[in-house]
Amino acid sequence: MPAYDPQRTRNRPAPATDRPAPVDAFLDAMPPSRLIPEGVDSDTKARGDAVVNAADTDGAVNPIAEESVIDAAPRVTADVPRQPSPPVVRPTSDNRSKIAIAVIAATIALVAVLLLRRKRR
Amino acid sequence: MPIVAVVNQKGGVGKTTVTLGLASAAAQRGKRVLVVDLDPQANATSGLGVWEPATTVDLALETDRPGSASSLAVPTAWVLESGMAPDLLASTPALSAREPQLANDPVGAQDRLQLALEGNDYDLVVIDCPPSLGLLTINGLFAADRALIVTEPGAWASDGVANVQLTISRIAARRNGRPEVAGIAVNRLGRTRDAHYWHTMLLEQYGSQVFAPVHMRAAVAEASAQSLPIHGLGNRQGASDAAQEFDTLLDSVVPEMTGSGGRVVAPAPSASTEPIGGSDASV
Repeated sequence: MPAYDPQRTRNRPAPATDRPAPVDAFLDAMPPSRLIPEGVDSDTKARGDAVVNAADTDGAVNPIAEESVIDAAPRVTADVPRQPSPPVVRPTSDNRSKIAIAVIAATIALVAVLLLRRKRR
Repeated sequence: MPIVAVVNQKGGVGKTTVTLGLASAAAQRGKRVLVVDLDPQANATSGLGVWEPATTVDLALETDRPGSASSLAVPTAWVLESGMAPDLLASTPALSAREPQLANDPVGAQDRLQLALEGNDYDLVVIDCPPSLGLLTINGLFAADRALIVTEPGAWASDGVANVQLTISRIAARRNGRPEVAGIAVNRLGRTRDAHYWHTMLLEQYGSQVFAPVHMRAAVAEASAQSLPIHGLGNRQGASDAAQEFDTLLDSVVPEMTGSGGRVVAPAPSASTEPIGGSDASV
């Protein structure tokens, strides 16, 4: 460009490739279940759980575990109603106190019966 | 099925013009084309003659809706000799409100468009990305198997090429090489020495990645304003030249469509009495 060179006083810098790019902020914030790194085989079970096989990774996944199961259950379309989960009976503090009272009452009754038998002898 | 993201974080370089030009060229060949308008400015939507669409791309991005693209697409008003008209995942200005919601989604919302496009039976999908780096553009790049970088021969637009190449490479590095850069389309190449200089710079810097340019022509801007395909402008001066350039660009971006049946070859370029640079062809 001998006649016209708008860069003759200053060449335009290229973006640095060895530093974080603006897009990295988005990519870093993404959950791994939706951003499978290169070299990792991923399978999808019928329920929607993604299985990452640790054997094929370069140390990206904890090597102690044989396989890591990532729960991807939220990937359900809005049109499909979620299946209601079965009711789970869990002990409550109210239940616990009733059981304790019953045990104490049974113990007192047992002791009373034993004392009455001794007196008769 | 090729999925092309037409992208540049720099605005005003003609992404929508190139998107519509590619869609026009493919539909003219009798191909089933889906245009995805991810830009809240909705210029591709109006350029395809769609006003107040019943469904928009916003529904595909609202939540995970695998395979929903075909049912959410609306027909367009284009009429081509082939009898084929592109379908459209339309945009509205309300789409701008979706982006912050996508960014704050705890599950991750960068692949919703990819999910929506699963299993569609179009021959070609062209995604018009917005002129910024955000979750809308990232959705477009996640869904695409190739990216077409659009620029114009100018200093700031040339800077944008380097930036968007870096963005694509960072995504591809984490996505097993997807999307790949199909190439660089130089849009609105005029006759000024500055345009010639920056076009030469792009060729020197990116070599064979730079496709044959799309020249600045008033016919392209008129097609946009009239919501007509560039291949449907008839005998309008410069229209056939522009149509031929988009045919060539389609061959470069989607080489698997080259020489396919039903292609209508544009007439030979006429003597150039066309007023070049008389109007802004960018959309």
